[in-house]
Amino acid sequence: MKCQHCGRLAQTKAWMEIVGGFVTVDLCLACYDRHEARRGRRSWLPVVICLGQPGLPALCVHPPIGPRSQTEKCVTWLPAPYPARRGTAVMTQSAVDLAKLRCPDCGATYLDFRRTGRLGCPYDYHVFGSGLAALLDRVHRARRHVGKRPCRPRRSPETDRQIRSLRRLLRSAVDAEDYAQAALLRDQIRCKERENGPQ
Amino acid sequence: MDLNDIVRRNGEWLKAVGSDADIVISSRVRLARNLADFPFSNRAGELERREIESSLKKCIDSLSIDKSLHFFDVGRLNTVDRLFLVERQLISREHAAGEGSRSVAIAPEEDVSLMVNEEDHLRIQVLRSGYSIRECWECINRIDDRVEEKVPYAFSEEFGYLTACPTNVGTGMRASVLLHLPALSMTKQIDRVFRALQKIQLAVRGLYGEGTQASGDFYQISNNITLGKTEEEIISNIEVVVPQIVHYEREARAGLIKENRQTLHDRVSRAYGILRAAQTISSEETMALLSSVRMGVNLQLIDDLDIDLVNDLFLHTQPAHLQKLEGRELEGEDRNVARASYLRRRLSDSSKTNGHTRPDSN
Repeated sequence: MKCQHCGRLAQTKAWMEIVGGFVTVDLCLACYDRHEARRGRRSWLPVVICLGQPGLPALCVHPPIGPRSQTEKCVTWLPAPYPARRGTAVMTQSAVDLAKLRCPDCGATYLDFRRTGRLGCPYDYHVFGSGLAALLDRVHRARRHVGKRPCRPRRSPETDRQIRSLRRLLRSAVDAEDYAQAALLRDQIRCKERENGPQ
Repeated sequence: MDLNDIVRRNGEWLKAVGSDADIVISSRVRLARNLADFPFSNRAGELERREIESSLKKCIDSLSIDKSLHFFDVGRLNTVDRLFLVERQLISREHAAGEGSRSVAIAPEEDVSLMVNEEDHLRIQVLRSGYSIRECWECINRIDDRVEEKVPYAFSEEFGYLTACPTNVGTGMRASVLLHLPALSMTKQIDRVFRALQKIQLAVRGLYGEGTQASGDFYQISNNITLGKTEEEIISNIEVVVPQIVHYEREARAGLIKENRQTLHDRVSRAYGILRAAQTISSEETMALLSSVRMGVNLQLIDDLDIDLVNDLFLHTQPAHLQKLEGRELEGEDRNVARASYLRRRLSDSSKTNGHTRPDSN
């Protein structure tokens, strides 16, 4: 059996997380150590996104182990036989749907998050909720906050999103020196802020 | 507040006052917070980062807390000054190495710092010398309340305080205690302690937090979990564990004195000797040797050295501190030579004042 990462003699097996489940991979001890070291840093990574058909190569997105600027370099292709040997690597429809999710507020995709380990905006928690729940279970062994709460009345995630969106438009209007439009947008923001609690 | 003025004094975290300060170096609590009206820092454009900074600066300037806070534009500081703030634990390594508009507000006593545009919009930190994690929490909770009166935080009933990284979501709180555990390291019992800590969801990190190696036998014990536990539970968990580790370290030190006094005294004296005589020395070796010397002073195996001086040296021999003390930029080997010279000078001054190493009676 060959190591599925470097092709040397495989000496052990490791669990690897894919979108929508886990698979086992055969690894040599050096690759296993690297894999475990990554798992120790970010237990929900790496992510393997299989293209869904046996025999096709699988895109493996490793965790960002170096500075954030090096994250892009961590993306590699696993050898073609990988998904063919491991039929479980084929994504379920729900995993495909999850992988395609894009936040309408900040534009981040679920895969962006899995690749960098960072969410783009507060609304991502709302959009990626189904994917995040299992992750939070694993990291925190809990899904719900029980600690301190802000004293001020809360706005809904949707209102927060609308305010962020209006602020973006306001910045564009100011950039374009369209001050009439900017004044209109500023009033809309104030109105949104007022209707959902004092600022 | 000028960074050049504070270089000669020790940071809050190495003042070595408070209970169990020979083992518990410092206690720290930090809160991660984001403003509801902006995307997280990693998705924010430069204009948005400036708006976040301006909004938080206005808020921090008008905070009704009993501290005057001084703002530093981290992006405009030179590399040495940024590293200097990291070494004093006032900003994170990520904040120092980041890009775009970012700043930090620091209290003159260096016990409070607020990082703006770090991984999250706002990272509030309260640091105290010795074992005082509860006082840190009470202080940071008050500051957090004051900030929250002025700006809307990103918060969800389900997930709590929303953070860029889901490992911080919920309370957004990281409570940590910095411990000096040379005897547990020497007796190889440290791994057993760490395994026990991991089972109760506590993390062990190096001197400068996440991703850093233990250096000079300093270890940070902190909570791993921020969701599904109250702030009170997180603090209590640490409060239960730290006295036990302190007890194990004291037992290990007593065991070393009882069974291997000569060997221990030899190790401590050699470390002291090298620090007083070396002509070139790396930061890493300095930390390791100072760690032995610190234990030696606390166990009264060295009596001509003040513990405050040892604590000073831990900080002053770090790369940025050394460069600021020398008043020039130093690279590689030049820095090692300057460090050795600085150590010889400080330790020789101390010996002249205090006398000599205690001769071993055994």
